[in-house]
Amino acid sequence: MSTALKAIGVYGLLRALNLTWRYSESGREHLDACLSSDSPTVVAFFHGHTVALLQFMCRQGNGRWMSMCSKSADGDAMAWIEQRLGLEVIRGSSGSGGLEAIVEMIRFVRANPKIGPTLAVDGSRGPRGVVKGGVVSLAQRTGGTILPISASASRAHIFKRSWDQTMLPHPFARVEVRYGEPLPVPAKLSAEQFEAIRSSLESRLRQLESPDSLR
Amino acid sequence: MDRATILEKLGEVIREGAASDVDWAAVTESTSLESFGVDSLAILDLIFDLEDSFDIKIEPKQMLAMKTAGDLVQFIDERTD
Repeated sequence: MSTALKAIGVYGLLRALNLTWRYSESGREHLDACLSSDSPTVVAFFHGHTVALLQFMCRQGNGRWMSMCSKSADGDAMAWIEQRLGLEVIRGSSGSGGLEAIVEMIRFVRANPKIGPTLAVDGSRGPRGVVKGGVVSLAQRTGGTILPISASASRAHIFKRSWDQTMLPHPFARVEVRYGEPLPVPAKLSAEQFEAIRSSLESRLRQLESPDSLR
Repeated sequence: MDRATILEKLGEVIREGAASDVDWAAVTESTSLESFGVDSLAILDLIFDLEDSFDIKIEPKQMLAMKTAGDLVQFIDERTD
């Protein structure tokens, strides 16, 4: 099956499932505070929650968001899907250990401060639940505030073989989106301060996540 | 801007940012960038500090290809008046 057909199939499935999911939110005041702020909001989540979160974030009233997809055939498919879901998508290189991708995101946000980047912060390949430093650099260099978010579902399939334990809520599941307390990031950081923010984000994301993401 | 001025300004940028404990008085164009002790995230800082200070654009591949302070000076010299 061609990549294009797969993308169409995945998109169709996600849209159909999304129509059946019953969303609730906790900590909504954190998202509202970020949206009403002048500084960019960097949305941070664990990779395994991508499916449950991205479509919800693109709903009206939830802000404007962007993501980065790799310049590859898989990236082509993901970019197509994410654009249809309502995200601004930029294509980035994974070269230089991910440095190029972060640089491109920083440049995009500086030019488009009203469009917040979304980052699966334990990506691209894990370990699951370990936050990489790029999100802190991104917020630091764009004057941004990091907003941790997480999702849980009343019933979901967990892809246990995937590194990120991808969560796919069942049809008609109740999906709760949880927003954590935002983390403002100063423009100047010592190495210790940088690590403290990274570690704090990791803790907040783990606290937001229910023990097994199922209730 | 001549090379000596670029090197001096480069020193200001680096001392204030990614490698604040470098003894810049001892740095010449042949000094290796590795000796500044900048890791991958500090390179990110360096890229944007230099872009903001010199009003140029540096791609990560270009930054990683540079080995000495002189390479950096040459790069900046070619892109500034």
